[in-house]
Amino acid sequence: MTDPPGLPHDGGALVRPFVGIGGPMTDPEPAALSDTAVRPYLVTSGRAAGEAELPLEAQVVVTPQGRGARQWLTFEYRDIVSLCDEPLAVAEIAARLSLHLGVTRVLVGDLKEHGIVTTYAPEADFDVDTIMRVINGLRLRN
Amino acid sequence: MGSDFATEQTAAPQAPRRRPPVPVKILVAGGFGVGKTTAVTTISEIAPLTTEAAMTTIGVTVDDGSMIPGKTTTTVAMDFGRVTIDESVKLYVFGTPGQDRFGFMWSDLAQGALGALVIVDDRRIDDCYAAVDYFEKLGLPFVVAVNRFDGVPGRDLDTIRWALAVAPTVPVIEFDARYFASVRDAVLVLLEEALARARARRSDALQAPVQPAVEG
Repeated sequence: MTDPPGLPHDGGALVRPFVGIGGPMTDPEPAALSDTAVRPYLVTSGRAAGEAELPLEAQVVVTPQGRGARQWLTFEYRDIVSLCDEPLAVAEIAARLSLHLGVTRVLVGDLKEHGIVTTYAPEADFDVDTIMRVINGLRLRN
Repeated sequence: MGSDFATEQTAAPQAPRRRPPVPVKILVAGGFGVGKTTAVTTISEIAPLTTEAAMTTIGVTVDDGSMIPGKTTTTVAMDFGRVTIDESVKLYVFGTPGQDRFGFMWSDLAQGALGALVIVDDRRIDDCYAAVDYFEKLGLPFVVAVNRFDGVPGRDLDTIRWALAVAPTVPVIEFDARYFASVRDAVLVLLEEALARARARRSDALQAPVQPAVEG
């Protein structure tokens, strides 16, 4: 069995990172979930997949067809699409919408699957030119 | 009229949509209260953002008496900032969360990172051991940056280098997390390290075509 890192085994007793999603509802520690009233993964229907795939800094941007689809979207999906007319990092979306990072990844993954957004992130090591551009750009800042 | 606007109308038929900027990520690590958040705040062009993330820590559970070493996922707040270099590149600076008492897995953060700035308070040098260990094991370029935030002359860099026992190739520098130029220069030292690595990699692998990014 190959679980993605950080995800609990089914029925494993030790780790319950996404408390309240399909687990037994006997957890007596709502206080442990910070001060938000809504359990973070409620909006993803408990899905935590895709978490390991999308980098925090991956740029998310709405596709042309996604622009047209905005009016059909609800809640968080719509919020994300509204933010991403210009490319925005996954972590920025999470911060701006006060969403858990893992939740944001799942939602962005959904939007991507439906062609509403595209994501863009370096796949492997950075090339020399990119690093040079960052160096030169940063040097000009005061 | 027409000629001035013609280029606009027929602009770049081969590239109908501009590619999103390449996000370049660096990490700011170190012990608790050494100035990570200050450094992120200082260099960021936006007010630093905070997001909640799940972190997997490996620790020995001592509170239930079972002494079972296991993974625990906790939710932590993570600060990060951004510097827009130009239309095509954005630099993201992520402060690594946690006090690192039990060891940690930052794989999520470190994945795809260009390198890390390990901030050291020279009164508590050992606070950064966990970060140094981690980046050494990972093979990620890092720079040890001693935060001289109080102006008090502290231990000299040679002593700190000795205490940390980092490789001679790892830069050990001092900086002040409160000043932009100082943080910028520290980041530049890190970027030069990363650049040297990238150059070495390129000359190693001249045959293999580079595929820097994927769009999907």
